[in-house]
Amino acid sequence: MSRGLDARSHSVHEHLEAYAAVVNDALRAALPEREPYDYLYRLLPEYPARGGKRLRPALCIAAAGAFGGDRADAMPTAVAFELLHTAFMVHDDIEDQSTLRRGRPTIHEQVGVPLAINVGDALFALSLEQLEQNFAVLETDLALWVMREFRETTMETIEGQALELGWQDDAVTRVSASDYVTMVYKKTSWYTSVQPCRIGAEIGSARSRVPVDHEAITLWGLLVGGLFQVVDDLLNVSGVDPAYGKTTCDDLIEGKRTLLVTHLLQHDVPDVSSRMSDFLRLPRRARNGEQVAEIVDLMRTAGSFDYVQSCARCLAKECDAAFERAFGSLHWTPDVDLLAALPSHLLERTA
Amino acid sequence: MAPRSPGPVGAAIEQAAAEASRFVAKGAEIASGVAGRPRTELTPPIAGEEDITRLLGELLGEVQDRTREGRLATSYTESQGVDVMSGLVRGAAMAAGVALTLAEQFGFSSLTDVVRNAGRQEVSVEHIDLGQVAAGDIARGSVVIENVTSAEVGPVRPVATSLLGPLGRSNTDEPSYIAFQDVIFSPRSIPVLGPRDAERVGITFAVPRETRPGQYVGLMKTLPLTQTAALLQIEVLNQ
Repeated sequence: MSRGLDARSHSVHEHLEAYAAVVNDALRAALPEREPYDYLYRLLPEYPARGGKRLRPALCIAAAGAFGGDRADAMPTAVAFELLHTAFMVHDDIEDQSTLRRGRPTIHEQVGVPLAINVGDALFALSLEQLEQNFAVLETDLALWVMREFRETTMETIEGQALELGWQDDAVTRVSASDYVTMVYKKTSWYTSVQPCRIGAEIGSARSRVPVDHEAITLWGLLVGGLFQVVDDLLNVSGVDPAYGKTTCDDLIEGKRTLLVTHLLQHDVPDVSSRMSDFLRLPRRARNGEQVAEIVDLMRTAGSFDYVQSCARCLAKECDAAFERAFGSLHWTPDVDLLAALPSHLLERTA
Repeated sequence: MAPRSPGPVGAAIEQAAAEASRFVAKGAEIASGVAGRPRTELTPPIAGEEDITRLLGELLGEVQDRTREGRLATSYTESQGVDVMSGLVRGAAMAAGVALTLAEQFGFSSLTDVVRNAGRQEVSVEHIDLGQVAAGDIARGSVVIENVTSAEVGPVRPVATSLLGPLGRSNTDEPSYIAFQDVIFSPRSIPVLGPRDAERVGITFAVPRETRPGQYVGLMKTLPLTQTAALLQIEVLNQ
């Protein structure tokens, strides 16, 4: 890693921390404390209190600022994205049977699945409450548009999750790299980067009248989300940073079709691809650490890690190219800088 | 000499470039679809467009009748009423959004309730100029009109900024479209004033994007101010 890249990534980190502080205040205000406290409201701040990058709200606010708007106008939407993300995390942990989230027991591990599902539902409902606040700060047609896009975003994510879970349930082994891209765009990109940026840009533009190129921002957001997921796939298997906070290799235990897995599945040595397929066909409870270690060795020998790392680097370059079209004509500000440096930061992240 | 085939690592790196291209191609395909769904294609979130259009048509039939009978403010002629109606029907989706928010603001139980009731009220409107907008106000994005009393503006309630868009945002964009073309109706923060309020207050108006220096900031006072009358007035002004 070059020194320049390191410095830039550090700058992104500082930017994100600054936005996280503002968002955390708004997030606390969005989470009520009332009865039934023990069974519900006590649990709502559980995941936000464990930290997190607040990447989605930061992108929303930064995009609004980059397009010359008032960042405060984007705050309800930014908080809505974080609440949606938190709701997804609670439900994902149940669906994936995960035991750890950010280094501590998942909510369903603490209080059981029924109450945890209810917590996720509540967080989603509270995200909609934030969007209602948009009617007080945005023009009505814009506030309605945000609601519609938020709904579309939610459905894209749910569809992506359905693909991933369905492939696992049906032990589908013919998952191509193209299928993987479709799933990742749906599951990750829309709500992580496309829509926070696109909606933030539109909110900013409402004041400044700086035109928004939706096509260009969408492409940039899709690629950034893809990069985010590819790096996440890699970290899950090779992550050593305690801050990663998930169980290492749990993607493999859960039978997720990550880019590492699709690489092995498509390997031209039949024995390699069939061993990966056989592993995926095992019931989850039959997969163990020894088998996982064997698959990881196989990935290493087959060049899967090099493949995914190279893919991440290529994607980061593509993000830079897409950035020029989406944001290149904007007046250079710290918000634009954050968006510009984000792919490098994601590429280098360890948690 | 035949070229050496790459080892696993070399092959993996070659494959990665192809994979990134796949991301870009798929992304470009999706992004081109997104470009085709701009904000102007809004659909009403709580009812079918046909239903909204029909209800608004009923409402605007009332507007047209009242205009013809001279029961609306003299500024609105019959032909303008017709224009307003057709414009509103065309803009049904946007109007539905306005009505939805009004339903919440004014305590109606449903959009249908709002629209149906709106056509049945007697309406009388009076225009009040409050001041002119300066270039500095536009730069700031708001203008504050100081020293206003309830006697001047009548009983008004706070409503969302966007409900009262700039008057004369017509489909034809002709300057003579509506008499109060140059008046902006866009209060960002209106204190709740009752008939007995005597203290002088300031009213902050958001300055819409279309504002030009010299335009007037004003309020439409509705006498008597009823929930439904307010709706009717705003629906008209938004066109």
